[in-house]
Amino acid sequence: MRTPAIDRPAAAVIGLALLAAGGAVADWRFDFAGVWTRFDPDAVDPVVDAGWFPWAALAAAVVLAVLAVWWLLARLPRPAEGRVALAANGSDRIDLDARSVAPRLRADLERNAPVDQVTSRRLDLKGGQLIRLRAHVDPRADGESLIKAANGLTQTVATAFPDGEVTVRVIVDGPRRERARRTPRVH
Amino acid sequence: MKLRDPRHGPAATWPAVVAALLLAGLAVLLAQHAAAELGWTGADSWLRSALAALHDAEPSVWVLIGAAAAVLLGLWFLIAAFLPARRSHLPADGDGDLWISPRAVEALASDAAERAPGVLHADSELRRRRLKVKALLAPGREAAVADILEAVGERLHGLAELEVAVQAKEARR
Repeated sequence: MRTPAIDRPAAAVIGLALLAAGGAVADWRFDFAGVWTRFDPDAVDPVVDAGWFPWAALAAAVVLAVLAVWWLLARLPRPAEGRVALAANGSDRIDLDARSVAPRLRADLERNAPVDQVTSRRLDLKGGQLIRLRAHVDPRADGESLIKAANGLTQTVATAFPDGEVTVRVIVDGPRRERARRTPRVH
Repeated sequence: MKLRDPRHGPAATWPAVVAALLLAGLAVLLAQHAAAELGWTGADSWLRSALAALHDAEPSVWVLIGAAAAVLLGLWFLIAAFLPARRSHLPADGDGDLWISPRAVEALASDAAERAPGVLHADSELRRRRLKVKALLAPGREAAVADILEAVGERLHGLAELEVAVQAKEARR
């Protein structure tokens, strides 16, 4: 799931608006600040009765609905570009299908590191792509073998893409639950 | 290319989803008012009913309940908006871009401790940079604590700079 940049400022603004609304009702009930007594509800009625108000409400409803749908959809993951442009000389340009790289790296990691259930995801970065490999650690693993496998993958990718069009990151999570393990652990 | 550290989702993610749904609810309220006033539906305007309640001397119980919910939601939104997204994995040494989760570190440490001689059972807990290994030792094997420290240190070598503490308990005969 992506995180739209608007989330935090908008949550702060809407949070303040909700607190203000709650405070206004509290003042209406307990009259501690005297704000509600200065508010005249009769002044609101002519505005709502005006002929233009339903149209303004409709326009506001459309804007708010579009905003809400955009805000919800903006967090859906966006698939990365399939092709990566390799550095080229002059007018020649070579595009590489990056989709074929991830399965190979997954297989390499699964073979060389004490991990299982490797998954991959490609993420667009400025000037290239990051292939993020995610795996569950085998509890019998040691740090040295994990580091060696990750170094090997990084070197392989750096050799294939010396200008850094594609990079790899390895994320190791905790072991899978014992029930889900295919082969039993033997101590 | 500057890569961001792996992080948990920001705390503002769910408040943002709820806020988007609140905006959608407000849009429905305004659209229903427009539809009722323009004669597109026979129903009374919900907005008019809500505004009529403003003439009451005191808010109704439902308005008070709504206000309390608004205050709680507002506090949640405000707190979440200022909480930073925490880093989810620890960076490992080496040229590779390797990150390991605290749960993985705990699993490796527990396994290493359990394999040390004289250890019946071990469990680990990582908090910030402090790894606490709780071990149940076979009777008369107090010296196993040093073995546990050595085994865990060797197993995690290069993964993360951690302060390892062993809390050992001897099993009853």
